[in-house]
Amino acid sequence: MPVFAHLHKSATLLVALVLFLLLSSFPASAQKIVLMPMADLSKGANGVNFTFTKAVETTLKQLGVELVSRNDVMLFMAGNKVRTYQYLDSYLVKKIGSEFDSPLVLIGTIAELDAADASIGISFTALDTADGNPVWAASEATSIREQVRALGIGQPETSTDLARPLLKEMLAPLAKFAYAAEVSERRDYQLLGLSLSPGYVQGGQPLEATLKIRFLGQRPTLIAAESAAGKSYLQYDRRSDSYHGKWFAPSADGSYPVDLRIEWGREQTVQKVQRVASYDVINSPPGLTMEVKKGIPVGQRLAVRDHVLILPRVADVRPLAGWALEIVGEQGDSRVYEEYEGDIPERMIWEGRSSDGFMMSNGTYEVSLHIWDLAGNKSSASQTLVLQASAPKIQARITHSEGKAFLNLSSEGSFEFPITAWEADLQSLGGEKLIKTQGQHLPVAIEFKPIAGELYVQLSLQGEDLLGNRLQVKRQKLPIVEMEKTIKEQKAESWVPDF
Amino acid sequence: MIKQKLTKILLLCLLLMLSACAGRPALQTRVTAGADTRVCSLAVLPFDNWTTKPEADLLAYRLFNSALVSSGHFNVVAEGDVGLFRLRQRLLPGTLLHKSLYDALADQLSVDVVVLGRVVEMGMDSRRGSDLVPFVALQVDLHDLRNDRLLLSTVHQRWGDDYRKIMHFGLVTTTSGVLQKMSQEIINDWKLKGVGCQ
Repeated sequence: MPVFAHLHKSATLLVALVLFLLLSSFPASAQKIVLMPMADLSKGANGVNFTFTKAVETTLKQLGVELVSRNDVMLFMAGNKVRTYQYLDSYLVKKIGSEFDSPLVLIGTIAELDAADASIGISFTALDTADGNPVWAASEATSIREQVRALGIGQPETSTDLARPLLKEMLAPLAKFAYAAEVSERRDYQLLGLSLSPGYVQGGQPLEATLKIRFLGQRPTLIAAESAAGKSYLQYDRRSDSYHGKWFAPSADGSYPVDLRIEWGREQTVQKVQRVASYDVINSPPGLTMEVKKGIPVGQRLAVRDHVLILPRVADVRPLAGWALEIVGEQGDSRVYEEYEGDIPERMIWEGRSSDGFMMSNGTYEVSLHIWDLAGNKSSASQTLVLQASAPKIQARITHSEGKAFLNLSSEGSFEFPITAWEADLQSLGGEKLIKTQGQHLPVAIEFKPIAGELYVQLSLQGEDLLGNRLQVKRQKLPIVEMEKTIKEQKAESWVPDF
Repeated sequence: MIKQKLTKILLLCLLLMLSACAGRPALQTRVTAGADTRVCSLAVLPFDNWTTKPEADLLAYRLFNSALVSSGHFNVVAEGDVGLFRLRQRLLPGTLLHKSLYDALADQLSVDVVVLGRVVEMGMDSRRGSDLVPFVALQVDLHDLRNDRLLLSTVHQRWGDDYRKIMHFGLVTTTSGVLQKMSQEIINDWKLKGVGCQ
């Protein structure tokens, strides 16, 4: 029994040794690589050649490279909307690596394929799934004309004949590469963005954060946003596939960077991503003054005859959320209110018009500018302006007193600044001069001697107010004798065709 | 005395004739004075197509990209990362980039320079009365993102029979073959001019 047992032990050792030797004689197993379908430029920018993909698969298998099944690759492409390699970014390459446990992604392009001329051009690029970057590439091209053999022995005749040796020659170095490649275990993510709302805020006001991030494998246990305000954990929202959080801004002015803190697994391994976003706390108003140019100073008041230039000056340069122009009348009635988003213009011109574009009546107005920054701080500035865009009207009347005739001139309507210079020229209808005089003040009564038998005189008048607004009346007919106006009904003598 | 002069004139004529035979070099690279030629990482932007061949730009782009990667001289950003950047910025091939876009490119892709290429000519020609051979003309610029300046500009033109050694040997009969060789020549020329991650 002991002899038998000894023999049995020796046999087991021998078998184990043979097995070890047999196994050690095989090369180390290569990692699976992912072969994407071959792009075919001879079929257009988005062309794909599955026949050629099959040929590449066969060549790789002959070289001992293990491949992920084409069906799985196609499913991945469909699931991730990969249509061309122009948008196969490093994140997707890493995702492929993670999903198929593969160290390399091989993308190939048939640069040229001419069946008639039997020519072929191929290019391959291998991307490392650890970082998504290209690590190996090869390009080759040939044609029948380049492969002339002695006596035509073994002469390739078709592009397929050309492709086989070409693929073997090109892909042999990749096979060695695939053996050496290792799958790295990484917790990777693609940060799409962290948006903070509002980006500018007053101290103590709430801030909302929305984080868009994709993970290659499992989601982390917790994600927090860290800033001077402290750490705030973000909640995952399945519907929007994003993380949300809320915190209150610190009270002190300043710019606060926000870092991301990603906590993985039970051991809560922390990964920090610094300065993903930032927000600004602003508590002070932006500060606004207003300078008005081209106005006419009259005593303590500033008058406007034609237009004024309004120059807003913002003390603290910062992005503004909006601004408004407001013009209020003496009675407190708002005549203009226009609100705009963005920065206030450097200069504005006010021509005395209201929002509807019509000229505003003469009077005193308060022109105000309001600005507010993105944090909601407001500043205002205002200036009182006296608008007189036209000279006061002059009323002319002929009166009689004690057998004498008088030309009475007086100002009419509402005005802020009176007529300061005028010139009157009164003539009979026959052109005989009755009065030609000038003055500086109104009202005034000027005596004249009317021509007997004439019922009307004609008056030409010129005037100018304090601001320089001018008034001109030419040959206005004035009745010498006071009479009532009667309008006689006029009948058309004939019908005129309407056209 | 006259014989001496005649000999000199004949020698001069011979020299001029020989210098005419030398021809113009096919590859010309102009490096900006004072440019920083230390380039480690680069991104290749899609090539501009000045030819009538529809896929000439993509063909040249893929082969030049492949040559850059296989040279092992630079860290080349994946084509997809460049594609997504362009998609985000709404950039068409050939669009002139401005400083803010170059800055964004440098930030997002972490590259030192970008390769801006242009396929000027591509086709088949029988310039020496023989069979049709492919010909390609390329312009490739390196734009330095670190200082927003052109680093170098290369102009290169080749016919397939430029590579002929004797009889049919060495003759390149495919456009992609010419492009592949040209790409290698351009990259080698850059290396000679000190461009690389030394």
